[in-house]
Amino acid sequence: MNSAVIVDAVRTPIAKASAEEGFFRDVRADDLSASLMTALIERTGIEPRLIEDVKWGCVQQQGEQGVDIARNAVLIAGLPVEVGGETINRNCASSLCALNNAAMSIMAGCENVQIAGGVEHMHHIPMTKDYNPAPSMFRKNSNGIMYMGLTAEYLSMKYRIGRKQQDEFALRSHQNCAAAYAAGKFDSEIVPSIGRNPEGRKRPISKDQCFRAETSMEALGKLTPVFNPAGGSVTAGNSSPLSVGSSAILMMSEAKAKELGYKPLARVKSMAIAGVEPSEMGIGPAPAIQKALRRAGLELKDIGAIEINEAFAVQVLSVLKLLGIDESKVNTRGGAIAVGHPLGASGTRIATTLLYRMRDEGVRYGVASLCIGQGQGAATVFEICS
Amino acid sequence: MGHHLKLESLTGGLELLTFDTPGQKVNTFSAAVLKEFDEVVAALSKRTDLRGLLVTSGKPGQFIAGADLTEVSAEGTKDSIAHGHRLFSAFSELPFPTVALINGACMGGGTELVLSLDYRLAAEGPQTKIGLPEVKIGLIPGWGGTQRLPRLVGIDAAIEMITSGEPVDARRATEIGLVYDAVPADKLIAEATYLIDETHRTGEWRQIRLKRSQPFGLSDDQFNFAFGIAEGAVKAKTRGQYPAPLVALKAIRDGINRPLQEGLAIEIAAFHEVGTTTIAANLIAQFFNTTRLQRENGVDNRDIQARPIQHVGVLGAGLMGAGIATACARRGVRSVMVDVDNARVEHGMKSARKVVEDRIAIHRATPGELADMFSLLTGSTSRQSFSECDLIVEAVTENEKLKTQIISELASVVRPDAIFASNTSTISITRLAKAWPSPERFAGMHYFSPVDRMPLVEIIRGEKTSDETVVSLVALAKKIGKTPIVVRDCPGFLVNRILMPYMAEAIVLLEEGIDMDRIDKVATKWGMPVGPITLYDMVGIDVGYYAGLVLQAGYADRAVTTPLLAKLVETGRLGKKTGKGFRGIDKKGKFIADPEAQQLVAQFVRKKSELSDDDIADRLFLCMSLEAIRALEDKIARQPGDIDMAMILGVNFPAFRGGPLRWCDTEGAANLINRAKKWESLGRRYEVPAALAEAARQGTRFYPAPQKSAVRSA
Repeated sequence: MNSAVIVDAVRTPIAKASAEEGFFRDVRADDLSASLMTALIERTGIEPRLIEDVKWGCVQQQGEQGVDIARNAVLIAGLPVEVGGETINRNCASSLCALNNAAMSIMAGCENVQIAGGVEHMHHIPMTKDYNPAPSMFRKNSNGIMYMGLTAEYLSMKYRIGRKQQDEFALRSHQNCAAAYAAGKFDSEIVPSIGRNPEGRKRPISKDQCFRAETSMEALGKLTPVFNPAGGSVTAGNSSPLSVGSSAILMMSEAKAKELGYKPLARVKSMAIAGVEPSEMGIGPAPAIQKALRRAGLELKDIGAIEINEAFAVQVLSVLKLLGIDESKVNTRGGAIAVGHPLGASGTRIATTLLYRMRDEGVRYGVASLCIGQGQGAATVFEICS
Repeated sequence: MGHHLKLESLTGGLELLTFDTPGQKVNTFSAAVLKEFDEVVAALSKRTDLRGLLVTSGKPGQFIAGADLTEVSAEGTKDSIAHGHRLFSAFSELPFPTVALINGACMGGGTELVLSLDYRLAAEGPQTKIGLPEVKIGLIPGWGGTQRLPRLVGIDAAIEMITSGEPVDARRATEIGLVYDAVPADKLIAEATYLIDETHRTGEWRQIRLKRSQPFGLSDDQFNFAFGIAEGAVKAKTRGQYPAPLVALKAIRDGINRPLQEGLAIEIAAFHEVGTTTIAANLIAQFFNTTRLQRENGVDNRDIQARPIQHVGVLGAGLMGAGIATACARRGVRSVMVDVDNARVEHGMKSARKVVEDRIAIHRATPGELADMFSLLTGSTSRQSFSECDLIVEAVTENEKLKTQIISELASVVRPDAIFASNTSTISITRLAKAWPSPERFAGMHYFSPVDRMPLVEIIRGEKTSDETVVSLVALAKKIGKTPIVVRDCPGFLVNRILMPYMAEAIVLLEEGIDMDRIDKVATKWGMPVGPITLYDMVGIDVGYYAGLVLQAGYADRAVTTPLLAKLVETGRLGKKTGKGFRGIDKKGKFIADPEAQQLVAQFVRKKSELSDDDIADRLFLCMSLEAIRALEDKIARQPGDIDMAMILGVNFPAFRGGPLRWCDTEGAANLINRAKKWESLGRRYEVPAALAEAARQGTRFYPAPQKSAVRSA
């Protein structure tokens, strides 16, 4: 079996999904995807004709994100027609699954050199647009399972995680993110991308738009719970914001990387998917991480860096509680609460941040995991190539 | 400092070149302008001290309107095409980066100028339009547009813009990459400065120039597929009658995968292929007629001023009345429609709403415009509502006695100085005017249906109609977005007088055993949007029949009677409105063959004529054109251009043929006389009018030879 490695990982800065101030407000998801693919190719110097397939995560596959955006972005980027494109949807873990699928294909001796990544433009194509679930799905489930905020409130009750703890975690996310920027820790991963600057001019943008370095417990505490105003605890401050962005990685077999003279960032050690009750979809990473670790023959203590997507503070805290670990190795450069959560892009976004953390911190094993609406978790264990 | 161009230094080694021809509303590329551009560019090309050039226009809301159409002629064009190419190539090779600042309409040659620069910026807002409209006047872009646009924005957007001639707004221009961005007008220079700084930093401008000078590099499949599809689409749209879009497409196709210089040579050859055609001349003439009609006041004395018409009363809330009141209110003229009962008034108001709602549905209007219209439109059942009106338009049933009665009744209700206009399509204006206390303030104002879409209004002078009344109605018609054409009173006025012989001849052809589908097909192949038989069914056979009666009475020497129409009316086959006429109507509203109607027609066949398609076309269009000549002889219209425009706008006479009189000029008087003589025995409608005989003798045309007019732009 081949070993699948990651040669390079990049992302765009992440914008607010806002018609007034989002810096990608007039950049299309397909154009944004294509520009990131182009940047990845330029950075690595890979010959485009060697790329066999593009696997691209995207949740709301309609409008500019419809009809196989992966292939469309390949064409926009002017890649050779021989390069394939597949759009992958597993809600919030779509692009981590794109990465995993690409790894599996490399391991199995199928498509070798590939780009995996994803995109979501939550302003142009809102999360709930034209969404129409089957009544038959709600014979045993409340339709509340479709409202992620309500599942987060449920976790707060079930795992007894209060407002203050959630706000503290959110504050940590913003502070970690700000500190990482101050230390230039995102320099390797962010590709400056054309968007609108605060004056409305078209300029290269290189900084995430959502995080607030200056936020405080006091400010977070003032926010009213969104999903359950009377007695709830999940606020806009301790949830991830609606956002716009894209992320991408270049993968190939370890042998191919060697042949082409690349020094890969890491290899894919193991992967896993786990299902959980839709009503507590946020805990998905807990069983997924454990499953992936078992497959890698590792234990949690072997893992030096962890990225768990921060859909909601309460959801990450529940996962940590179930895993029985503290937050010291988790999301140390901030998470989705600060950075943003463009659904289809988040999987390879957290993988990208994880890979640079592993490189910078000299960590051998790292794990990336996301919770998934309607009750799933996805996880990938990486091992540094040295 | 030049006459048309001004060069000024900005900070940071930038120069701003402003195109601003004194004394004109728009900038156009006349020979003089091109010459001055040459001098400026030659001087700039030696400036090694500059870091960049910005090019803009000094006309508010107008960038550059394009070439000077008055200079389009066989030999002149050849020179100017070569000249433009030299100039724009020189622009594209200036030794520093260049940026166009496009604020306003940028058309034709203006667009080709900006395409030769490295970057383009547009000012935000609806005033900015960028287009290559050449195909609309039968030409193709001739100063590099067919080559530089596809290399910049890609084939799809370029083919669409060039073959349709439709401009794009600032937003769309940004989307397709025609401009770098759309910014507020006052930020244009700052943004251009940024672009120049940035491109000096990255060296991108040199890469851009290299890339755009090379073949575009379509694969065989990309090439064959794209042009195959485009050719099919263009052919379907032009029906083979307008060659320019296809020639433009061919120029794009043949040039795109070659170096730019070769592509430009291909474009020049293609331009000459269309530049001297009759079709181009016809379409250019139409363009000039349109601009002339926009400027004219409708009478010979240019000093006559219009009386302001701010409040219009319309009597009758039916199809035409509601349409007229709506057209006024939509363009900011207060109007009130009056009918006998609430139900009719309500129906009229509903149809007004529908006009705007339908436009909102296709993004041609906003809900705000709907609200604006209703703030100016009222309905009433009381004629007292007319007491403050400057103008009353009647649009009641086509019945002379009724109209006469209403006109005299209204005289006591309205202001003594009010103007009265009748929307009659058949009744003598001079006679109707006698019922109005001051016949000098009485005229015909004949709209075409549907009013919201048909641009033509015939302004009909009765014997006593004053110049001031005519000028006032012409001004109002323009204000509400119509093209007014002033005609003198005669049966059928101008448009129906010329149309009806053609319509009647279609019936005569049926009576000679020619199949109705064949008649329609010959007419549409000739260029009419629908054939005459279909037209009867669309407008109503009764309408055609009664109009025919008026013409038969008025031109008894030559107008033919149409008993077949009488029969159809008698049996209730009135066309689309009754679900059956010459043809039946299927569930989707489409015309289908109806054996019953065919049987009825068969009863009227008097003889079986063996006619070729050309014979049929000549029968139809000679009848029309000879009557157009007679109308000109009778001075019903003020000049040939008015007749041709009226027919193009009023009944969609094919624009590429230039109108019935330009068609006569194209065919040649002697030739037409020979063809008319072939049908002489059929009746006096084929008699050669004196003016045509005279033209054949003298070798002259109805249109004077092209001359330098004061009209410029496009």
